[in-house]
Amino acid sequence: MNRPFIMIVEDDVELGDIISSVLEDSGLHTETVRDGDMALDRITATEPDVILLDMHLPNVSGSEILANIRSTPKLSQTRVVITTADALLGRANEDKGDLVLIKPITFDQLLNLTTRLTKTSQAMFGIRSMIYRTENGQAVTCPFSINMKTCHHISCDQYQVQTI
Amino acid sequence: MNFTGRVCAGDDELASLSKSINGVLEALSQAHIELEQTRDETVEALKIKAQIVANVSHDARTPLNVIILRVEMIKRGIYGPLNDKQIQLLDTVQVNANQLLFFIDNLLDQAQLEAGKVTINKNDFVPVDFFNTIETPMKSLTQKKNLNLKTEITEDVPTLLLGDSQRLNQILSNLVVNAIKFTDEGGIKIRVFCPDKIHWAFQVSDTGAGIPKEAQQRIFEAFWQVDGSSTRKVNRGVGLGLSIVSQLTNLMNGKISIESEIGMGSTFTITLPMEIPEGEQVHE
Repeated sequence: MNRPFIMIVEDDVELGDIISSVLEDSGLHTETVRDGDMALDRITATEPDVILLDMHLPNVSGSEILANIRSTPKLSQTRVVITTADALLGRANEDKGDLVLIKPITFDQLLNLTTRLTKTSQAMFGIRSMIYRTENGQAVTCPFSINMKTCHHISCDQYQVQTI
Repeated sequence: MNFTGRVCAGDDELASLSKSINGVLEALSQAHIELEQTRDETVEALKIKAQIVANVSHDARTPLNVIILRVEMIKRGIYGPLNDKQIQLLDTVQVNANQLLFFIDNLLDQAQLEAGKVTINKNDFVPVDFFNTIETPMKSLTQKKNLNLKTEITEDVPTLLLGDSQRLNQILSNLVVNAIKFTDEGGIKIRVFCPDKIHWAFQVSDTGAGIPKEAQQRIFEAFWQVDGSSTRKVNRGVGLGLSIVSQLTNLMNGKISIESEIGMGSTFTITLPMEIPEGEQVHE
């Protein structure tokens, strides 16, 4: 299986390098871009599986890039993880990204992202804090967040997903 | 409010009286205009302040993110093996970085609350998992002071609750952080129970210093401290946590109560109206 390709759009050079290093060490293929203009060009050219998208960027904002991705048919399968240091902006965009990570992003969050992308055949993330029911009817918060638009009845390790 | 009415008079005495009353009415009218101007300026100032704090929060989080990730990478041995002492020192860096983050979050929340920008949302959440998300980040703080941290969820709590879990997390995290600050021996207990069929009580108890009776009404004021002197022995923060707890509890139509005695610890109880999602079992 090809390594999942992650585009990291992050204007802070050191943070971009760290995220790239953690994801590459975990077996993912990454490319990092520092500004909005370059991000638009590279996203269209490379069609990544996942984009880690910072919202505050030089030249073109993350919101504009997100709108562009959503209106481009060939990027319909591309998952967007919004990363932002603006907690309020993050909360305001919860419905727009497949996942929102408010900085500081933790090492475990990056590893979780890797796990989801390498251990499943589908990109298994989406809205956070989903509630699931196990086979015996017990409600739990699934450690994975699943994009319920595409996955309705799938096994998620020990979790049998029955409801959204 | 309208202060433009005029009093008419028929003779000198009444004319004098009416002149005095009209003078008072004009003064009141002027004062009212000035009060409205001051209110508008205050509202505008609070909005500007909230924006400045949001910008500061934004600019602090990125370098903090670099610190947190680099420390974790060093701890995991990515740059080479470490001895126990080095790992212990890196733990201290992480605890302090997280405390700084908590402080930044509180500044942001306080400014947003003052500017009236905080809204309450409802979502389903699993109480057991929810309390894990509160306990886990607090463990490094309790371990640093050799304190116990326990959570007790009584049997009447359903598997799912409907409420603003994010704001409830802020409330309980602030109460636990506050309890840790003022407790030097013993521990902290979080308890959730159902006092009646439509309310849920979230309680944080500690075995700490206790709060003097005369201070119990003031501890929810922003920036107020039981010992606010510059000579206090231990830095207990800036006094924002309990103010945020109180404001968020009010926004959620809840109530807060304190039981505390000097030297005997404190118990904060937050009682909130919370629904059980449709179809959920209610434990009798």
